[in-house]
Amino acid sequence: MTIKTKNAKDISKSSKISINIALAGNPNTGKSTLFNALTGLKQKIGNWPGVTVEKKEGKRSLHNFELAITDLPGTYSLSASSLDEQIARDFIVYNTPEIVVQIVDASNLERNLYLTAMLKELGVRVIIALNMMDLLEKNGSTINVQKLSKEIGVPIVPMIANKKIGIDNLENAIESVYREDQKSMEIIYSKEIEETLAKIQNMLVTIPSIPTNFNLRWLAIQILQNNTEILTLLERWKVKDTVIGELTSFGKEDYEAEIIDSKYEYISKVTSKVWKKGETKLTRSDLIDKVVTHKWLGIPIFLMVMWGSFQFVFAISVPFMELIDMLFGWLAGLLVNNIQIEWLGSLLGDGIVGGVGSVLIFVPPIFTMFFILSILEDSGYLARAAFVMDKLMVKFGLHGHSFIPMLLGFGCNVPAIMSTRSLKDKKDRMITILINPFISCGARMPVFILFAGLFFGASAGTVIFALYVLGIVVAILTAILLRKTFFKGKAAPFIMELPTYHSPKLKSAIIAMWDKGKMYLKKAGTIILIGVIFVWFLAAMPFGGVEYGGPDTWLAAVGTFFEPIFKPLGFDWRIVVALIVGFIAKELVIGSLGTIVGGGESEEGIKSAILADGGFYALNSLSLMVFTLLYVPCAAVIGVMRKETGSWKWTIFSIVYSTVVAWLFAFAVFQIGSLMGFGL
Amino acid sequence: MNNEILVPLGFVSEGKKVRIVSIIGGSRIRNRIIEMGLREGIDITIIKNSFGPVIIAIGQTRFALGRGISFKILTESVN
Amino acid sequence: MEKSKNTSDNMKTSLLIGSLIFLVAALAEVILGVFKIYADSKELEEHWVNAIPFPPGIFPGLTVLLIGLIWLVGYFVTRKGQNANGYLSVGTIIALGFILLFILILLTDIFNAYALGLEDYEDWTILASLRWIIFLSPIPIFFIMKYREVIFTRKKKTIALQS
Repeated sequence: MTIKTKNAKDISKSSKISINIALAGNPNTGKSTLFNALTGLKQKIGNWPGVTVEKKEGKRSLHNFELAITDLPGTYSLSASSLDEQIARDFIVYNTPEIVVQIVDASNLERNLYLTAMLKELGVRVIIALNMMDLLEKNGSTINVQKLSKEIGVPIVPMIANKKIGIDNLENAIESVYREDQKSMEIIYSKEIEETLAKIQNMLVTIPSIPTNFNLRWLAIQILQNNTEILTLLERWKVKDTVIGELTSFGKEDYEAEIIDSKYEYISKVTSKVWKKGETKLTRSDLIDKVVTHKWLGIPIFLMVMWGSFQFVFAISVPFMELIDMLFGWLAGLLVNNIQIEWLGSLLGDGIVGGVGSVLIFVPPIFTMFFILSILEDSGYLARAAFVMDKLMVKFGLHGHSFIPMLLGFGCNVPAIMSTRSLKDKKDRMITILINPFISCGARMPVFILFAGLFFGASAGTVIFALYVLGIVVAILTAILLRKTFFKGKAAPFIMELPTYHSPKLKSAIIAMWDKGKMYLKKAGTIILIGVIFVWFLAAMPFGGVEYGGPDTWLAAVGTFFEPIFKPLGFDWRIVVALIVGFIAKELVIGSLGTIVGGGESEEGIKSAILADGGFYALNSLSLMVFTLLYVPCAAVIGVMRKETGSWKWTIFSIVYSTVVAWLFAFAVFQIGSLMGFGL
Repeated sequence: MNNEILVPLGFVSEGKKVRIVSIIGGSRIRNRIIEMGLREGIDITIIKNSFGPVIIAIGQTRFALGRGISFKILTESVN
Repeated sequence: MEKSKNTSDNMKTSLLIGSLIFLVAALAEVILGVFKIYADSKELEEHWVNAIPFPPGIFPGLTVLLIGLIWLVGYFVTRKGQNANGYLSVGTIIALGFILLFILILLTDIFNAYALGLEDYEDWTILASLRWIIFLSPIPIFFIMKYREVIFTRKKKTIALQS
């Protein structure tokens, strides 16, 4: 890549040598703390290719180097048994970072070194950032850092990342490691394995399609472990059949267990010389766990924490939402009234400003939701929430892990579906993804607030609560159904590390809020903006003489076409239009109703227009809310579902299934309600 | 030890220290558990075992294990 | 030895008294909260429950109840001679969290009513947002002051590092 230089400053900048560094480590070792400490706010959040797993990149200047740091997902191993591990491994194999900095929790040395062994086996230069040194003494543990470094041939930098202690030494280590080669850490396996490895390596050398710089020993070990990902790689090189054919002639068995054991044996041998394990004592975290996972108190505490979180979100966001509503209402009015060309004023005012405003109004609650979730996660409580819900989730054929995505779904289904990547079992993951859209996200809330507020008065809160419960019930029933049909089998065993509690950091909560919230803003800026313009266009066409959003427009034509399907649910063409638009995003439902029934951009205006209209009443607004709750949340969810499931089949299944379920429930509500005399 | 009695983890009472002797079940599951650091020969302390998943300690790490898997980990007592 | 016995006796008493006060307040608030919901749904503005200056709420009452229960279980744990530090900490931290939350809600209500002048706040007075738990705050604050070392880990001095 060449950079055009304009002035001297740029030249000095571009002449810096870039060092490609990957940050790896077990979960809960302080990896993101170190990443934030290294890169500050110079971070770029993107997605890993092919998957929507969040990828964080950052830069740091160091003398005449520029460190390009990539944060890999937190993993215990690189055996690619989960998406996270696969991403971490592929990055190291294909992007060949010059140095991998592995952050290691000093108090869990042995297990952390297992990952080191895997990294070294890949043939990359590794630096260990030995974190949480301050906790060692407390546990009565000691590590002979120099000796350990010598034993495993990897430089080790002791540090306390959350206090930014040890960063300078890490920089020095990076510089010196960059200049020299690192010896490999040869783990000698049993004679039988070594012989087989040698045979496989000899065979691999002769295959021309394998890139020459590829680490053949590593590849041979992967083949021996029967790693399915590697088998697909071989397929890509068109050598799968040859290799497999040769393997059978070696009398191949499953050596994975033995290979894992050998690595641990090597590590125990090393650590026994340099590490004095601390005693396991009952810590403050354990004492807290006894309370928050208590037989009787656990679930009530969880419910209270959730209720408090929702209260927090509302308290913070209401004033901001009101301000945004006022601002955009005023701006839209200004444009419509002051632009001479009528259609342009209408496009800018009604369409774009009104539409964007109706989307931006959800920025405050969504940002605060991410903020509070990050606080809960950071403090360590979220893992306990999964723990508490495990017993319940097992009954639905899932386990505690699946609960966190459901919880995140109350904020936004998009990050919620992404968060399922930590589930190791494919079937568990598919079920968890497919039930997520039924969890009512923040964007559906305004529809509920508007209609419940208009037609259910004092019981509005109860109605909204019941809708949330209905969403959860449908999600659970769907989980049971899927487990009994397409994804037969038992849920994978539930094993989860419980991080130590610590007081959450405001700064990291704000970073997390901004990172995740940005995705929402992006969605608002693209999909929803396009949707808004599209609706405006249909509502204004055909040109000349038609009333904006009136019964003669193309919009009405679309609605009228589909009206018969929705008649039994109590919807007329206008509701049908709003729901069709709602496929793009739920944020558009109210906006487009506003367009059709009139009333302008402000919520108050829409409310009075709906009341005056006569086409809306308690029962059909209830079935409208039920339908809104249950059908496809938005286009972004469809996109993320396609990426995360890797299958159009399941994405389309989800769209069809949820729409049919929504129709059936709304139908039941409207028909039963009518029979009971609640109709118009 | 000639009359070793192996006890599934799920039956070990709170506060006891035990050693993992074997992990039964499919090799795939076993390998994943081992990679997380739960392997044969190491000592663990049971922090909580009364309702829902079992909480165990390996050194300074705490793990929650679902009840199902906790019965597939066989342990012997350590003095 | 003598000293630690005293501390645990103190904690036992603290947990018992704290839990009893919270439980009594909670039961009163929940019961009155039910009446208030009833009065509101029937739009009985003259109902006696509306004469209470600080409106009771079911959910806020339930949080008080939960905190009281956590401390009460903690009290029984101390009676068994076991460590109840977790119960004291969790109850106190939840109490503190909710007190701060309700103060925050109070502040945003003031902002909504006076700075923004929202319609929903026409009949609102500051008293309407003073939750009961705010008046109970001396108890968790006392616990924090007295048992600071139990509730929050003491900051360790940073140790020097060299590689």
